[in-house]
Amino acid sequence: MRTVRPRGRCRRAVLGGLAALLAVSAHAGAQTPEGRHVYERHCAVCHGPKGDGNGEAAARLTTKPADLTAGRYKFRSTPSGALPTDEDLLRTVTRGVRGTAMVPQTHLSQAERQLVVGYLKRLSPRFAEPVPPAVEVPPAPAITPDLLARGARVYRASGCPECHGDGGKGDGPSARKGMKDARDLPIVPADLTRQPLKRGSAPEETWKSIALGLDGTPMPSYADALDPADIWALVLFLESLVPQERRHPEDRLLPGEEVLGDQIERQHREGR
Amino acid sequence: MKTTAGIVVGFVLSLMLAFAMLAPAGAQGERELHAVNINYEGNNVWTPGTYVVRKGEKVRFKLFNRVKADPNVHGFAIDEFNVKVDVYRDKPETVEFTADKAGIFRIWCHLHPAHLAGQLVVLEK
Ligand SMILES: [Cu+2]
Repeated sequence: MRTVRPRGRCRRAVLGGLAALLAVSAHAGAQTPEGRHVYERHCAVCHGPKGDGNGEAAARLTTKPADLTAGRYKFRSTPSGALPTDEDLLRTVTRGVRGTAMVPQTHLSQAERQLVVGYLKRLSPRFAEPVPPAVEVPPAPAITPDLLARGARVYRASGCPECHGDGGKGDGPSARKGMKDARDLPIVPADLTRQPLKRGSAPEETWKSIALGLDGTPMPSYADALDPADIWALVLFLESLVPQERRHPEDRLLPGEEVLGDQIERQHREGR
Repeated sequence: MKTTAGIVVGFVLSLMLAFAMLAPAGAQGERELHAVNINYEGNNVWTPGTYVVRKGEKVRFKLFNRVKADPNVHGFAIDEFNVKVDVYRDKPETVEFTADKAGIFRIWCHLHPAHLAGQLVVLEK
């Protein structure tokens, strides 16, 4: 094995990073009670004190809160079946799950969000397993008519219309029969003709959803079935299905469950 | 470890295959078959892969999705007989149809067409 000797500026950066890492882990270790405090104040109302998704507000929500004790996460940058990275968890806490009551937790400081991520990992014994490295999303290709036609072919050939419908509205034959998630709760396929999607509007995030799947749902990983370029063609074809008036800004709460989720969290926070 | 698992899977597969091949027609002209969706070394597949019935028989498939990994649903479809069932993990389904034409028909997962396909062989008589 070759030893890599960092030099100059690079070396300083590495040492600085290392110091920060040590500080963070020492911090996380010492401050777990704080992570728990943040969780109880901001998360438990929906996810429940034990994290099983049965918080006092859960009954009011259409999309049920995640069971955090299962250690099974939809929004990962890791392969299907694997645990998410800390960055994945931090992203979901920070940006929320769009269209649901899991609203962006930007009222928390970055440090508080990091503490709560540390606490989330204590709610499931699965986090004793190693977390694989994040899959790298290749750069997006240029959009051409050929690429979009290829994306449309991939959409049909991969079986997407069965759930998401011919036009991507989430109204395929399986959707009409009614679908269930791994907890046996009703789940509807995404309407791909409006944004943001649950994971937001960034095409790179849609690429991850298709390549890596959304664990605990009927949405599979296509990493084995499609090559990365086909996935990009598919993502950009899906982008082309979203009319301007159905692109909602990412920085504003959507009416419905997002507004309700915001109210619940606020009332809970202020009532304590 | 892997070899043991392979032997066990192989044994189960051959049992199921034998069962599928030898399954006697129940009442006159009826045939009940079992199909189990499994993940075999990374491939999702309905097993056994081949089923044999006679033309004119009323076929009843009992479907089991035993794939532990997500997604939690796989499809069982035979286009020529208008069979298309979503089978959720550990939620058995039953589908019936009359095999009114002879031939070799593809059995596939309509939700994930990349999954391995099998076949239904309908004998002329
Ligand atoms: Cu499948």
